[in-house]
Amino acid sequence: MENRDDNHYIELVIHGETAAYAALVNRHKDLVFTIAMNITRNREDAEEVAQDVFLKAFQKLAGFRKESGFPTWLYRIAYNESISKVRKNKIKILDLEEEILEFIPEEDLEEDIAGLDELEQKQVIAKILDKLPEIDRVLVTLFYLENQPINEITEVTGLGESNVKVRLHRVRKKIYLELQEILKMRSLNIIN
Amino acid sequence: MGNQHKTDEFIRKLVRKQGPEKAPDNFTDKVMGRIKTNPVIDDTPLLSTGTWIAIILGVAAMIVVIFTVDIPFFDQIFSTSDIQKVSMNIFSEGFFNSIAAFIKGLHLSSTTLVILAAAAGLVALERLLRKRFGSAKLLFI
Repeated sequence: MENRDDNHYIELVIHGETAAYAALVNRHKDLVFTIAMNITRNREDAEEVAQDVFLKAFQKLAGFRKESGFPTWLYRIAYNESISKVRKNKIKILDLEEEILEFIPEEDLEEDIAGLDELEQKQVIAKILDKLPEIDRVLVTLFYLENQPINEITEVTGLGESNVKVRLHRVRKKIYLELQEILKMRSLNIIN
Repeated sequence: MGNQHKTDEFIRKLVRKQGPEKAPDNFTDKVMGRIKTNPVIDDTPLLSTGTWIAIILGVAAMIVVIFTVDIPFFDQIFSTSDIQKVSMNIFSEGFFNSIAAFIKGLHLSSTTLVILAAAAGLVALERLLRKRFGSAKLLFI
């Protein structure tokens, strides 16, 4: 199938070509699954949520108004479905700890992490992201991985713009703090 | 600002090294399989015809009760203004008279009529809200 934009496939689906929806699923499945994983922290739950998201998006496609991009609309469904799932499972969504983070010099950390090999770098960032609260993990995915602007992140999450900015600011600090801690432990050979 | 941009770029580089989670194998096939068993695209309007009928009936019932049944409370309100006269001129007097005769023929008390009108209004409102906010999940779309 040709690599056309989302709206092309949406039109096809709305006009009865259901098979065209597979192109949209293929294109967005990893990010939708990532958002579900960010919040549920469980692959089985995340897969179930991601499938539900695409099914729901399919059923509501005629109501998609194209005011926001299709990915933003889809991520919003993914975010809300994931939150619903963890609420149903009575899993408490961790929120940001209100601790005051000290300023951490960045330059040294950048040099230290550059000294690690590719696999080690991936392990370190996975460990750091795992420690973040669910909502912040979604913010990291959208802002850093998906490069979404703040106003679209507010659409996806329903958080206010200033709230998103404050959270991202704290996430930056938190990432540096965790990075510093992990690298310090590694240098002392406490963890591998 | 420059520092923050640098920090963002550093974190972005790290996060991108990690990349997104990979959806499981056959994910697309599973989704398309579920769609095949449930291929309906929901293009129903926000309010169904039935809901509109219920709303119209509810509103009509309230108007009829207000303008045709002798309720002291309303008399007090309308005695201070010409609302009743104006309203009766706007709508057909004959129409209201026939409805009033019909209601009086039912031998229902004004309290019963007010309750019925309120119930009709509530049913209409309930249907409206259920349609819009029927499930928590729908709230988010």
